[in-house]
Amino acid sequence: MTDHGNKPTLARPKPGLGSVLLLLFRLLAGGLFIFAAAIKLNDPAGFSEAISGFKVIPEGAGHLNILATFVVPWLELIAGVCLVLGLWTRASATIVVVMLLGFCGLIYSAIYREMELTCGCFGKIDFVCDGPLGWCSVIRNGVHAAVALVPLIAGSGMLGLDALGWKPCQRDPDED
Amino acid sequence: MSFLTRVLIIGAVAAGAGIAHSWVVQAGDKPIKLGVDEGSLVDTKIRRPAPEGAGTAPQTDAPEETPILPEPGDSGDVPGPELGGVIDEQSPDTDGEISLGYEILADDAYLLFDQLGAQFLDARLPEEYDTGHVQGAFFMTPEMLREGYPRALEVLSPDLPTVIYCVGGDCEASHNVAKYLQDFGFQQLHVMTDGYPAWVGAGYPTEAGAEQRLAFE
Repeated sequence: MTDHGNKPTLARPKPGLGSVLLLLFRLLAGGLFIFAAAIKLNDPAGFSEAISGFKVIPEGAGHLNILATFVVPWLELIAGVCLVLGLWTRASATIVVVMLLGFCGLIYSAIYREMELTCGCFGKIDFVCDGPLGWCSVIRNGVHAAVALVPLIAGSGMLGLDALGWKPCQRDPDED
Repeated sequence: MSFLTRVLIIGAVAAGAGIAHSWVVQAGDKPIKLGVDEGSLVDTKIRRPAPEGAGTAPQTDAPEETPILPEPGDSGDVPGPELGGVIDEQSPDTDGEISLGYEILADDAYLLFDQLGAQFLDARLPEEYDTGHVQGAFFMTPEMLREGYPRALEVLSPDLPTVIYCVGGDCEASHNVAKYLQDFGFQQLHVMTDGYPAWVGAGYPTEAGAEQRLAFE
């Protein structure tokens, strides 16, 4: 089989254990993000109140609260879907990791300021951690970020849409 | 396409979707409210009890800090002296009126409790309510009001002053309850900003138990 004129090409490799593991990591990291986004989009008023509770948006900048209320879940949703599909995997995984680290920072600031509130990460659902915000939420988000770090480093594997654009043309070493 | 371009495209698509979604919701019949509309709230007037040695004029330089001993309530407790509120300048004598606005302190709240039978709403966690709450307070959280019409609203009267509290400090739950109650026609709304700990610290009436909370679930 040839491509690019007379240059020999490699056949597309079959997905191995590595690709399956990468798929699992993508499903877990992206799937959780999609789940969290759906909860927030279903109850934007609740998420808006959670954002207000952190007291990071200055008084009089209510429009920023509204912006964050809707843009954050949509970013979670789109990045989560891309990650699950293995589309632009490294870019979407980067967004997931950066957002999770940002959430960790926000939660830590609330703990430092001894604020008693809920993070609104999963709405009313106590996912892994229950009660007011604490170190459990920081650790939970940290573990989630670590899971997303794997596809960020390794890519989508052969079981993702990114693999459809696989172009393994070998260069003729005599060419420039 | 470079990595950075892909990140920016994902971000731009999400921002566009979020902004469009916010326009739709804010233009709809249930826009997100960020806080209570204080301009349409009604202040509650209460009588400032005569201090000991009646007949003497109150201090004019700092009237809000003049120690005042209100009439004892049913509990027989005597509350602390720190009172807020705005002293009605039309009645500068010792038996004047205080006009209480949206944010009040525990001592002001006690006057509403004692003189006007104000209704109290507890916006804390269920287990915190069960452990102890203002005597007669109903359990009411923002989530309950967002999800519909809580049964407790059937026994509350919009014509009575309503005091909402949580843990004090940075707690926003009481303010969030107030903004939803305003939509249900409540106008005499007060948030006890120093929260339940201040009420307990002053020795005001409390009770414990989940009966009232469960009765309206």
